[in-house]
Amino acid sequence: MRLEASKTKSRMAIQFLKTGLQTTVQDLGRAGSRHIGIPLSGCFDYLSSMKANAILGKEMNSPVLECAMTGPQFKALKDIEVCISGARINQITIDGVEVEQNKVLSLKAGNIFTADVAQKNFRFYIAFSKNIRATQFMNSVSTYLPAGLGGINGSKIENDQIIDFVEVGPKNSSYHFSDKHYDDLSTSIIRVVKGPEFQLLDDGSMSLEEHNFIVSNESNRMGIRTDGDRFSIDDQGLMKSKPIYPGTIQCSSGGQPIIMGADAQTLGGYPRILQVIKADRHLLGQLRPNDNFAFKLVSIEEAIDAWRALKKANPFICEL
Amino acid sequence: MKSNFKKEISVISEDILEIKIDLEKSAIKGSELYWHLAEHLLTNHNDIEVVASEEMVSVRSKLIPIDANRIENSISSFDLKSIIQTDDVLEIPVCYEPISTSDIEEVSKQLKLSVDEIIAIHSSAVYEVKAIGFTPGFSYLGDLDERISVPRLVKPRIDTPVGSVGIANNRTGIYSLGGPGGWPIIGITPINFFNLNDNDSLKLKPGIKIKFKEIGKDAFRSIQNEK
Repeated sequence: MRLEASKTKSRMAIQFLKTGLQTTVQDLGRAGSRHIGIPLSGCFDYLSSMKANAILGKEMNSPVLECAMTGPQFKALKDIEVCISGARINQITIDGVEVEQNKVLSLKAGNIFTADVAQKNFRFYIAFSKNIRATQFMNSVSTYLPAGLGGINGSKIENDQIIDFVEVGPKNSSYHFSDKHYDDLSTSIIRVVKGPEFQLLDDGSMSLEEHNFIVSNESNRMGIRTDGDRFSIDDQGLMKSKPIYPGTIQCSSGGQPIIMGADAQTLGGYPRILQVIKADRHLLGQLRPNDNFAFKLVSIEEAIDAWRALKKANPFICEL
Repeated sequence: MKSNFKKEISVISEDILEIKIDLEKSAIKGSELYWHLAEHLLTNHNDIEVVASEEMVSVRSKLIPIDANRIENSISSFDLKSIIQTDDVLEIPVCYEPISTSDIEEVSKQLKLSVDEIIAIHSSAVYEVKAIGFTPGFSYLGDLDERISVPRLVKPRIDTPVGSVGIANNRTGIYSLGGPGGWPIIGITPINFFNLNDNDSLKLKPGIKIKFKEIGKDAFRSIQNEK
């Protein structure tokens, strides 16, 4: 979709010169359609996307670009403000001049914005002062790639793609972070509560928390697959499929846990041994292939406290 | 019938709970009952997500901690009479000749049955939709004849071709989307049960009955090309 310069000149839009590994439009997802098999989707690390929107004074559910590992390069066709949060990026530039993460960045028409590669963690989010124009499906513009829902024609961003913006109401007050507020998100310990089929795990010689897992290259937005240690589990593959959510951990008789992601299917047939607590679910979006991590078992009361603590530390968070 | 349910509510996490109903005295099957209960709960609460499986309804609350009493109270207003039953049988064409991914040879060895016997058994029964979900357009159909019952794959596939028909335990199902999957695949249907531009494609719901009709590769391609 290459447009003549005359046609794009006055357009409130950005044009992509490079796409990044997998750049998609996401908001906070389509809750309320899970019963008909439609996954939640939305930003995998929603805390970082909310942060980018908060810094710009936007609504928490405003659409953003979710980038994985490598970021895009785009040209602003009109003046627009952006903010980038999430995984720490090696270099962000506007026309070659280095700029910062977690700050309001003003792009002038013709400026070229580049976010290169995540140094650590995996996903980062680009929010805009105006709203991305994307396909609505069941009250959300989140891209769900397997079914081609939402986003820009249900796909990831492609080269030369132009995305348009629509005007939004007046800004909320912008959120300011102190300089001490770094982005590095620790994913080495993921806190969990017992899942409904927890009892199928064998009490082997190693405790649950002693198992070390490695994020597999086969991971995606549907699920984080793991290599490394295996659980010993009593599963004959005979269970009836049961409800699952983002953060549910399934384990087949092979012993390798799979953590369900933002695009998690709604029913699953492998034992649901654990459930990632809500306060740590956004961290799953930051697990990068070959990262090491372990689980830490907590009580439901601790999970409730952890969510309250996360909200206190990040007062812009909305319920989702 | 209203509000007489004996129910068991289990809190799973700070935001998820599961509801099981004692079905002993119920004239209606669990799969249908849970599906309608899920819809009922969703109509009564705007801050929850629900999933119905064959054995339970699961509720996730956006608010933490989940308020089990509030959910329990709205189960009492659920009326079984709101469920309308139908006897129509929908016919779904399936090509059992391997076109893309197929485990039918392995299944045949595992079961010590010929491929033809597996096809004959799979395509002769009338199935009922037991649950929908997993991915958009997937439906769990049963009961599968126990002679062709096999367990799930030990390691689920990363990708399953669109339209694949799988079997697992006493269920068979259609992967309308493709994507990851753990069921051995024995055939493929050219019918798309998740088409965004066609509301009619989401016609499978718990309680509806279906039957598979065997077709060859040529018929598969011609039905596919019609679209």
